[in-house]
Amino acid sequence: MKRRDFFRKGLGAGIAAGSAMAISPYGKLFAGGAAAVAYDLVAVKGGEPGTMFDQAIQSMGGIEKYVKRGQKVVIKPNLGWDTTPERAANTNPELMARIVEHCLAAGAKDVYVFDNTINEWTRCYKNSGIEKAVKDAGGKVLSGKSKGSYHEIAVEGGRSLKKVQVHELILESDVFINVPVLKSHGGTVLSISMKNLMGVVWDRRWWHANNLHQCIADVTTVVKPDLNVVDAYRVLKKNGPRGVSVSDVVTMKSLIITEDMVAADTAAAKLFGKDPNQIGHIRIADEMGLGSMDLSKLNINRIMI
Amino acid sequence: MHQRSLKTIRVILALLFIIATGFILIDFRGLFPTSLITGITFLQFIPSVLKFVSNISLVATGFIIVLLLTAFFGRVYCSAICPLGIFQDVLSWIRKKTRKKHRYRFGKPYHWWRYGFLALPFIILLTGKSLIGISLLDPYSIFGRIFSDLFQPVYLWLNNRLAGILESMNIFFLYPEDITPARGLTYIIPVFMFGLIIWFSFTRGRLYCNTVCPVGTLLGLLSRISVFRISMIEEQCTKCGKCAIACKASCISVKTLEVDFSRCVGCYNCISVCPEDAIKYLLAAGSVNAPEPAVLSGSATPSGPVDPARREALTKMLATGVALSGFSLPALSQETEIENKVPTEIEPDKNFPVTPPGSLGIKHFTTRCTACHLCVSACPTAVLQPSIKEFGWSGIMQPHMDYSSNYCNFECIICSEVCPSGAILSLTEQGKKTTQLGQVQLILENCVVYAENTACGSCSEHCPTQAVKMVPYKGDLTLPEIVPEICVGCGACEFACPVTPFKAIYVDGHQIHQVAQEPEIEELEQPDMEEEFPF
Repeated sequence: MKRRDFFRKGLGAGIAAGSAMAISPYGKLFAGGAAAVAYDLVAVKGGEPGTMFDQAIQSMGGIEKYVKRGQKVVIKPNLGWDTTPERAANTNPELMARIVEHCLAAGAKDVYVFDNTINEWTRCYKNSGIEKAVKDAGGKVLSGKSKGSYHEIAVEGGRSLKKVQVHELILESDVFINVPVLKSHGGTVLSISMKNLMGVVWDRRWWHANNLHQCIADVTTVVKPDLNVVDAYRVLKKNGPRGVSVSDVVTMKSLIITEDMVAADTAAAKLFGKDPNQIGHIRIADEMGLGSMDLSKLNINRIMI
Repeated sequence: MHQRSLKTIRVILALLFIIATGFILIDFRGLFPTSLITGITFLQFIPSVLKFVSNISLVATGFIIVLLLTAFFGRVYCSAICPLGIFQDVLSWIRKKTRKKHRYRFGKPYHWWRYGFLALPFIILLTGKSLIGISLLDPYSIFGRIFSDLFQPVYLWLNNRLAGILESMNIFFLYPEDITPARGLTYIIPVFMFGLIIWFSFTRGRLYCNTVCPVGTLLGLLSRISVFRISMIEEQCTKCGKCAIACKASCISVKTLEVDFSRCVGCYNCISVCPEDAIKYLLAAGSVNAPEPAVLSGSATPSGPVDPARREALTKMLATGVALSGFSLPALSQETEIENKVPTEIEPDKNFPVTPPGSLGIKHFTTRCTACHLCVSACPTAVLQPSIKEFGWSGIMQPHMDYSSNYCNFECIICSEVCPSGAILSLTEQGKKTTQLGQVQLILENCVVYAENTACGSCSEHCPTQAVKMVPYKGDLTLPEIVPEICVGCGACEFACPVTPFKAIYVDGHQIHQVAQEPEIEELEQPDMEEEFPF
């Protein structure tokens, strides 16, 4: 994607969103694609996955704010399941492709994508459509299934979790973009950005037997994405996290983007129709000061396409 | 065509067969389409016979082709098609390259051994007990177990080393794959057979094929009366003895100018070494019609209920020792640090082992599986593991669904596509999704949510049909609830359940597979696109 296209699309979004959206065309001109107002959270609705990301990242200040030339980027989707994109158990492949394109356009040296999948990984990568989408966009796809790639780190601020084995790509990359898909979850009510981090961890099974919600919150004290992009284009409303059939899925055509995982999960839970206070790990993370559930204090840009 | 080129043709065919067969038994990436795999195993004699018994169709006629070939040209199968036969030639060749040249010489046939080993499997089968005699002696299956059980882990280990080196160079053409070691006892049989094969091929050529192998002996009965036989021409022969020295089957007697064609494995080395053209295929006078081979029948009953919990501790520890000494295997999975604070107390009560989808049930499966382990190699999740006594000792080495190793991927049907013997019959993807291998059982007292009031849901998370679903419990907690009618018995819940030592949820196998009901579908209301954000 060329920067000029970015610009045009960003401008289009500004117009579409109407006068309430305070995007200054001057600011953009001078900043070369970056918006003048720095938003804490951007929510987009009504577009295709790629278009929604274009507008959201534009509004956040452009991908250049996060990805600098020559940097190593890791993008972590949810791709835990051997299901097709229509089943919405995995992150949308079009969205993944677009994020990879943006990162490469910003001069990223390498863009890596992986997940510690739950179903057999080669089938997940293939049938989710993510492997092909990412490779075609110029990204590199890696197995998340070799134990040797995970290294133990201490979780100083953890209440339940004291140590955790995290994938080296997360530990070593310059930029970490977390791209969960919003979906229902039998054990944790919803699975959004914090829950998605279980896919960068090796010894996660222990969590299930040791206060799962606390562990999910604990890991965010040490694993901190630079940016969270919540895919709510297709949303698995029930039988999550895997779903049984396409009839479990609704089309919401939405996307939420923010640096704050707690805010991301709070907004996404509301979008889903759940009270975020009912979701243990969101509440705990807020209490621990890992982010904010109070969306009224955030500068939010709401874009309807 | 001069008959000397027969050896060249045989060597080319043999190399093709052993490379292809060996590769499908060690491959873990699914590089060959299943139709090609089926083609490669099509001519394997015993699996083909068994497949024919359960499903009379063109895809099961490989053994008829082998019989016809034998009726015309003798035991072509043994040198060009049988992977174990070719493997022995490879071993002999290696030995020849590393030590002084070996000279074979004529030997008398060991009739008692030959016909004993031919009769034994049939006696075991006909007395109504089991396929064990056949599965332990079938050369293709012996080869399969050596390659799948012993060589695949080595191949994986090499792959992982190479993948590691390439990854450090930022090349991701290969990827590392976890090695799932089988239980130690399952290595005994393939290691013993591998040792026996090495010993025989190093010292006595194809003695194995002419004393132990029931397929060799059976085809030998037919080749004794085949249309064309390798014979010596008295007028041309100078009795130089080169043919006998080259004969790995030890079936050429220069003294009497006779070839015991029932033991000839069809390598054609004699034809190519003879300086006088005095030994070659000749039309045999008075050849008669080929007799039909005995058709396999009979049934096996797995003996007694199985106690899978007991085997655990001992056997996994032995895993690396026997076959792979010298290699340090990585920890087998990420599932080693399971900790629930209070140990679970109630032991799952499993009545039957679980057989793979498409195998119809325990009886069909155990009476057709020769334990070649092609499915074990092909299974992408390594849930198929050689059994020890899950099916009773008579079913040793026949694979079972081991939910302590992994679980069956809902969308995958590869085992049913590759099975050469009809033990696992072909399934469609849809058919697989409604095949119930066993049913889910829940021991609520063992469940960590119930016992320790902490969130989990791992079982439901893994369940492809929501036969275990999470229902509201105290506060924000949810508790598993099972709907056995829609369970497919894939074992995902059992594998995923984090508690020890006993699982809170498990699959009890069916003796005969059932049809799983399809999950209820309820249409959801699509959201309004015009609606504002709720925040």
